[in-house]
Amino acid sequence: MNTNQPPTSSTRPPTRSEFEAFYREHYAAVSRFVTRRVALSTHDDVVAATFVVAWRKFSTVTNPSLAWLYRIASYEVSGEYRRQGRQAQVVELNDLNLVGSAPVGDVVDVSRAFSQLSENDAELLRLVYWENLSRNEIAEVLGLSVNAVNVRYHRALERFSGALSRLDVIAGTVEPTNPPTQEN
Amino acid sequence: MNPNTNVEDLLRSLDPLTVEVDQQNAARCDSVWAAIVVNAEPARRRTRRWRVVGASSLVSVGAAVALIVGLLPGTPVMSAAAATLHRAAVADAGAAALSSLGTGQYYYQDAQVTMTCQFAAPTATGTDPWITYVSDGTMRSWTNANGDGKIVITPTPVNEGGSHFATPADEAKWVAEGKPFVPCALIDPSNKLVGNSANSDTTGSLGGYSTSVSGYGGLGVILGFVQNATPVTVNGVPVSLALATDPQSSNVTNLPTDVQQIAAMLANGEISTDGTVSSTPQVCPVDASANAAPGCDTNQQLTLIQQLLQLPEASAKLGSVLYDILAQMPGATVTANTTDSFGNSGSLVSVPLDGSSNNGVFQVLLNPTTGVLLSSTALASPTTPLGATTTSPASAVSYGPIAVVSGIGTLPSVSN
Repeated sequence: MNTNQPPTSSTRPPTRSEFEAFYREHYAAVSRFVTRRVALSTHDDVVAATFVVAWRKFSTVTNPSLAWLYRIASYEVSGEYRRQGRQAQVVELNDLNLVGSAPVGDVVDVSRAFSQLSENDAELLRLVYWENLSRNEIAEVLGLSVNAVNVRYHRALERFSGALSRLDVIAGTVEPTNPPTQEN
Repeated sequence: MNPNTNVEDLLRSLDPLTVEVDQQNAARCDSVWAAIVVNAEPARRRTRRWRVVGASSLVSVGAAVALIVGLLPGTPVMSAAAATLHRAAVADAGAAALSSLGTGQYYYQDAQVTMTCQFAAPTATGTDPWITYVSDGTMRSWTNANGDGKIVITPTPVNEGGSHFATPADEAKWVAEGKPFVPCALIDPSNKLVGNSANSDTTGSLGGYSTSVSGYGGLGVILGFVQNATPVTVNGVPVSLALATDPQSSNVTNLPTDVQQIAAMLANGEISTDGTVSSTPQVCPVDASANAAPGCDTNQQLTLIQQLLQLPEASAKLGSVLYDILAQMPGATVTANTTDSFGNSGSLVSVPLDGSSNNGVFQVLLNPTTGVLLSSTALASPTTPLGATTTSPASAVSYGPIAVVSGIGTLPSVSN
């Protein structure tokens, strides 16, 4: 993950050109983060709202990193959920990458197992496996300590494995082959 | 399922992001940036004006007023436009004030609107001209005492009710592309992704088309409105675009009504384009150059006034105040007995942006007797990508009367 250094000191708002450089550096990552969590029709709005907030707060943080942007984006996503009157995005079957390469029944089962997780568990796993963040970065996004992230990660994985087992997708205990990295 | 499938692969398989969607999102980087620039400004404390402008601010208020006066060319001789605006300000200030709102009540205003949309196919290149479409419709707004509320925009179907493509070439291009979705037009059977397999609905309601919407800038919903809009459906057919309740949509109710006070705040950059206020001078929220000092120049103030006047309640609350400030703008002209595109008749005041009509023109149509603001229109610059002429409105609002209603969605009774 590319951690951006602030182009300005922390005492004055960034100029438009300074913030535009920051925006263009991180647009793709934030766009992907948002796409994975809200309906495509609201993507642009949520991304824009994220950067508007970031612009306003840019001078108040010492290191406006991508993890910081993700944290803002998560608030905007939560706001979008509230506006839509739902807890989390329902992953549509047609959106899954596995369609076409795996039996539809398997995809449905995996999706169903994932949907049984709490939003906290699901979000942590998204950050690990969709955003490919390190534990330190996840800790910054979620406002947790690294140790807390480690504990929650393993518990979330256990719960996902349990849900899969109950759906007979996978029998027995499953261990992750590649846990999140320790360092940035 | 393969029993050796590991959890990690399963979790990654749930990632809904596809390369195609990612590429299409990347193509909208510029349009999203444009929306950010419109909506972003330095952090502003959302405090009530009269609490923060006190004795300690008198020096800055006085300095700002002096700044405005100093900018006036030939101040001792009032132009015809300035005289018209000043008379309108006096008349409007003497008009009955808005009724106070009780608990749960909202100001309701009905307006006719015109806006310009541009859209382009996902495969469009930089040299591929966008399709320009001029959409007419109605706008209903509900605003409570805190500035919260709702705006519902109901455009007409394609090519109905005055809505039209900007030129025959735009319509021909739309037909050639299989009549794809037209942003800011009512969705009906004539406005769907029909006959264009390349536009299968894989990227949301816009079918992957890039959009740019001009108009409603003063409503604080520019560009974002398509994305913000939640279709209101009847029998499954979207009939209007209901903007989510947004406390930043309209903050006019918290603005002062004193001419000198609001003039100073405009000059200090303390008023944002959506009416949000700050207690301290800010870098102007309108077209501020890099490393700009706090405050707005004359043209920036004009743009601010233009956007404030387009706020639903501004014509009633701020009309007289803003007229007086508008009267001080250089290059203003007045044309009596003018009828606008909505059919309103009155005195038309035109103010060129940046002192030249080549940069666009802002117009207000006033009732010369009562001072009531009848409509406001932003004429496109001939150099804008809208492809319009200076006589084509990029956006226009015709204001209806304001009534007090009991809740969002409630319409005034006939007696109102």
